[in-house]
Amino acid sequence: MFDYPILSLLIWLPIIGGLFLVISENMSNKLSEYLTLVITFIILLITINLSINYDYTSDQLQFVERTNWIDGLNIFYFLAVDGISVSLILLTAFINFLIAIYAVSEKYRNKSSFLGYFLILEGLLIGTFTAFDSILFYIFFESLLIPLFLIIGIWGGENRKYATIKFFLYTLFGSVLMLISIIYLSSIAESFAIRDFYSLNLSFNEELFILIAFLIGFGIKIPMWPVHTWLPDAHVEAPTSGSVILASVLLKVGGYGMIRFMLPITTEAGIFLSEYMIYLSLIAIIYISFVAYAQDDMKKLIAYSSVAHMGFVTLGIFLVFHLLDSNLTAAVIGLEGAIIQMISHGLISAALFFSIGIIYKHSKSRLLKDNYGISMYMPIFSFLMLFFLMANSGLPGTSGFVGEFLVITSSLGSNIIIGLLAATSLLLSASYSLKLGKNVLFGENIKNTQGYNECNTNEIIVLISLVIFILYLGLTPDYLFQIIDHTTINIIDSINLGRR
Amino acid sequence: MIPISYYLILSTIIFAISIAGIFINRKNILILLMSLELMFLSVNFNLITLGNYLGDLTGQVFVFFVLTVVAAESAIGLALLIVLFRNKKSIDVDDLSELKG
Amino acid sequence: MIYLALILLLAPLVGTLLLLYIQNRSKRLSVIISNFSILLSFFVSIYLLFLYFNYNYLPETHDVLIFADTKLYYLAFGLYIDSLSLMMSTVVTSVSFLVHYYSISYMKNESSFNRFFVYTNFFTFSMLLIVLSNNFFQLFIGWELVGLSSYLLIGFWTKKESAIKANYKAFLVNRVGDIGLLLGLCLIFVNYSTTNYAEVFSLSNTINNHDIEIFGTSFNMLSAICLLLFVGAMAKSAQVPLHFWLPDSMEGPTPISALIHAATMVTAGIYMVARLSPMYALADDVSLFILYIGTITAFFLGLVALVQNDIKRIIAYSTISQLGYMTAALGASLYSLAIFHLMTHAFFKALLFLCAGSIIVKCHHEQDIRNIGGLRKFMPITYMAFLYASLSLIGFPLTSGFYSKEGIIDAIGYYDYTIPYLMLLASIFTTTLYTSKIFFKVFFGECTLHDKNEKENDKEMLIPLIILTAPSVFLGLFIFDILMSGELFGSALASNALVIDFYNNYVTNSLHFFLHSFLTVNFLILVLALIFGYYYYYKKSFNISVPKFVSTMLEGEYGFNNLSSKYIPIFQNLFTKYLWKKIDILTIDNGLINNTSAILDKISNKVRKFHTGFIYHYSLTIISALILLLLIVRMQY
Repeated sequence: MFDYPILSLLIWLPIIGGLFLVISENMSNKLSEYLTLVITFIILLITINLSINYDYTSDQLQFVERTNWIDGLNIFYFLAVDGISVSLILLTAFINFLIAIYAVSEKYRNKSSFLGYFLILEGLLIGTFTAFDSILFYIFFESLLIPLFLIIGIWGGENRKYATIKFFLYTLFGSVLMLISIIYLSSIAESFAIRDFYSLNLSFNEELFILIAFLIGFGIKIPMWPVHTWLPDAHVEAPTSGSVILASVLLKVGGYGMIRFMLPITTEAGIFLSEYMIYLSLIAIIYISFVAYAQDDMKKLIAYSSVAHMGFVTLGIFLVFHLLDSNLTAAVIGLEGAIIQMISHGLISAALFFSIGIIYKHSKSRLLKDNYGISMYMPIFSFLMLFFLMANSGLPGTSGFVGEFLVITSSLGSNIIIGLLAATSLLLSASYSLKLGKNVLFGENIKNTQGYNECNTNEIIVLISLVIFILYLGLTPDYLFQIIDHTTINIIDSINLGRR
Repeated sequence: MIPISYYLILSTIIFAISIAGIFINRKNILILLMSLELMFLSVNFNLITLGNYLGDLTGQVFVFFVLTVVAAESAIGLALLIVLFRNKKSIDVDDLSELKG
Repeated sequence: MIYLALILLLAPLVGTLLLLYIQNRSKRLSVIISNFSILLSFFVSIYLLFLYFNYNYLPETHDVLIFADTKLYYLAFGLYIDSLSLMMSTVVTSVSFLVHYYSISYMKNESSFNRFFVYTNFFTFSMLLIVLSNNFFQLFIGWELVGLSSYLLIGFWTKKESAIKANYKAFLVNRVGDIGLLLGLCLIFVNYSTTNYAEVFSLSNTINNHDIEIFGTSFNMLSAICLLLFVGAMAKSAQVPLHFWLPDSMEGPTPISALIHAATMVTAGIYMVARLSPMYALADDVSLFILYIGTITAFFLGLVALVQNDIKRIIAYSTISQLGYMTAALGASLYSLAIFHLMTHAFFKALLFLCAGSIIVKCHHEQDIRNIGGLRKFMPITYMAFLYASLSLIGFPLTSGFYSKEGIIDAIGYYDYTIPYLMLLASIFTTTLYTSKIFFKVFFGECTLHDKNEKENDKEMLIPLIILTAPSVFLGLFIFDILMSGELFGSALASNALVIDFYNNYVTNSLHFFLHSFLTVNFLILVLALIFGYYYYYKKSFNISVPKFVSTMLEGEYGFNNLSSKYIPIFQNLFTKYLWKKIDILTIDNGLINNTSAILDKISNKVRKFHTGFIYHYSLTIISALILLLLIVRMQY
């Protein structure tokens, strides 16, 4: 059906385009904008095409590309997709297209390289989600840091040095541990293909160490409590588009890695540690929500809320360990909840960071106390932002609800107390989201009437398209369920097979 | 016939002198270079002695190579010295501590 | 039928979308779209009701939109059409339409006129989503959406500080209830892999035999589910202790108070329990809990209404207290009586609120009844409407309120729930008293209007009052017999036998009930309270000094006032700031992360001292190391 290597195209087209943009510094802004728009649009089209042609009823990997890469070490250039990859690639392509649209109306110094880095990032992200060779995965996973490091480091805020170094070292530390475990696994399996790791017979202690290494590596990326502190700093310093891509797609790499590596490889150790990991996730949900409430900087508030929402992702993943022996249906529900929560959080956090970017553009401040009564001057924008905040607080009918609902359902399958604690998020997320809305959108603002005017067309397009997708996933997410359902069940099955 | 140990002791003494010249000397880079020369010489001395003793010509041939390299090295060293003097107006070893942690 | 029901459900939604599209282009268009869409719903609902009863349809359930259809589970939006949902949707759409019509005049000077109708239309849609739902999942979605529309409408005046606080509070308190509801829903879903009402009901005996473990103790699964679901109802229907958002929600426009916070949304909890009556009828322990919660709410929060002076707050507390009656009826498994009171209450309470709205408009947004008086001459129609609504509220014989409320009280007495019975009797007295307080203060006494030539309000505001008077007075008489004999709801509600038994042995028929009531203690209390109110509030012939602690307790609303406006915000601010500054920043970020790098920094600072930059130091190190190495090698061999 496809006689061209579709995945390679998805990866290398944006990377090459991005490199070209980065190198040609003197390119006019207009041209670079068009180029980015065209490339991201093509990528979006190809991804949509890919998702249409993907066979959801099959358990096999699809669109496989496999050639020798480093012969001596048995390392392959091995790309493929399954349901989880497809959904995440769709998210990546969509968000990058929005960023390209949003960037048209923005001013940046040296715009072409700014856009170039985003294109590179897009290619690398798609690479991470499609690599089925662990070394290839690791290379994509690691190189993700570079463009983002540059984006925050060059176009960031005042305190960007501290933030970038913290971000870089933090995540690098995690991935080194991950690399070690990958090498160890491959030395036993005598192959670097991820799927070959699944059937290994590891001793319990080996599994435990590998699990902890993965937990730290991916946990930092997600981020889990207590290794989350790099995220608020990075967000605060990042430019709007940087925050968007960081929150909406980059964090998902951690969740993806957990599903791809931790669940099938270190099952026994995972079952052993699952209770503690669930506690960590619950702390992320509850404690971080409290911390988010205390913030006075909008971006920090949303950054902390991201951590809290990603807590649901980890909770859903770890619940699988917990439920493997008792309730397989609940395990599947939890895992699907985690995946949907990733997608939905990708949309919602992107929308919120865009919104904050728009407010910041007008008032030049991200502090809650400097922004109030915006609804008087920007009624349409305020309406949209309130919608996003509601979605963030998990309002049914928006995508934010679906994932949380499934994860809470799954947690009730194991223990009602876990469910109760997870469900407090309903109250807590509403309290901090609406606090933001209450302070920023409502109230009377007579002081700076000049500061605000309604968003421009590009911003409206970006926000409205996010609204549409958040609503779509909230009301009829059946399509998404179809994409991930077989893969999820397949993963759970292969875990159980590996155990026997 | 002079026993081989005499030669070796002599070369060791020369080597020791040169080492002492390197780290006792705190004044002059020129002396440093000279000590280096001396060190090479002692090594050459060893080469010749042992080559003769073992009846292997390679050692003695190798001395020529070493001498060439040493000559080149001292030429470079002196050139550096001149450049250094031009920049710093001094060839004092104590002034050359910029490469510290 | 399903298509008609879809029209019934979707008309308000379509209205919302159209209104969103037209924005502020024309007030006239907004009015037409919003009113017409609700009216359409209303007519469809009446027609469906007619069809249902005339052709003896059986309850129908249909899935309309698939939410998720995977290998292991299935979720969908669907409709459930039976007498209960149709009756309820008729009540919702009729009150909603009248309030819409009333709002045309009430809101005419608002700049965001259109936005108001967007919200109200959306509210009607979400309410119908609850009412017509055929599964727990959709119930929860509608539940949250009505919460959202209530949030938006309480904070309709976005510039008003108090309104924004009130809607924040309302949303959060409702969210507490939603947690319960969600957990109940998830428990059902995860254990029985379905959320469909019919399927769950057919399983309810099985569920009753299952246990759930909480902290090592096992509980009955059905009771746990019912209790969790009821927590949701407690928040939405403002039952103790989750009631305190409702009085504050009066910050919204008055038509909204009538529609959402009196007639429809707050009764969603009652409706839900009645809808799920096949489950609740089996959970005896939970039912008893519900009974007591209802009674406590009815009695104690009725008392609070006595000391309030804001006309809307009084009516709000009265609403809470009346909801308490309904809840008590649910707890006694008298589901059809609860729904009956829900319906009559919807009409007379909406009428009361709309009258209050007219009064407030006339008095230039003065809401304190101490500053209002003598309006009888200026507003004769409003006066009459208010009179009838009040009579219905206090349960004066023959009015709608009489049939529903006396029915509940007598039935609870009939089934020997002694303490609830006595408390409910006592609250007849308070209800009558605060009603007479508003009535006498507002319509009699000294006139406070500045302009003595004031006329009644516009006819848009009067017509709904007149129309609402009819059901407020006559609905009870009209449907009492068919409802009590179990014809109206049939199998839609469980435990019908209880009500039928009560009807056959105690009431026999509506006329007999009416005549009999004059001989009961209920009527005696009512008359006593009326006489007391007349002399105390109107003639002012005596004064009562209430003990200080009682009055402070009542004025402080049993401490809930302080709790919500003082303690919780302080707790929130201090506690969350503490967590952030002390734990997140100090312990984790500075303590663990930055400290690690600081320690590394220190060590490397120490180590770098070795690099002096002097060549002789290096060479000395090299030589000594070499010698050391040689010595070691020497020692080895």
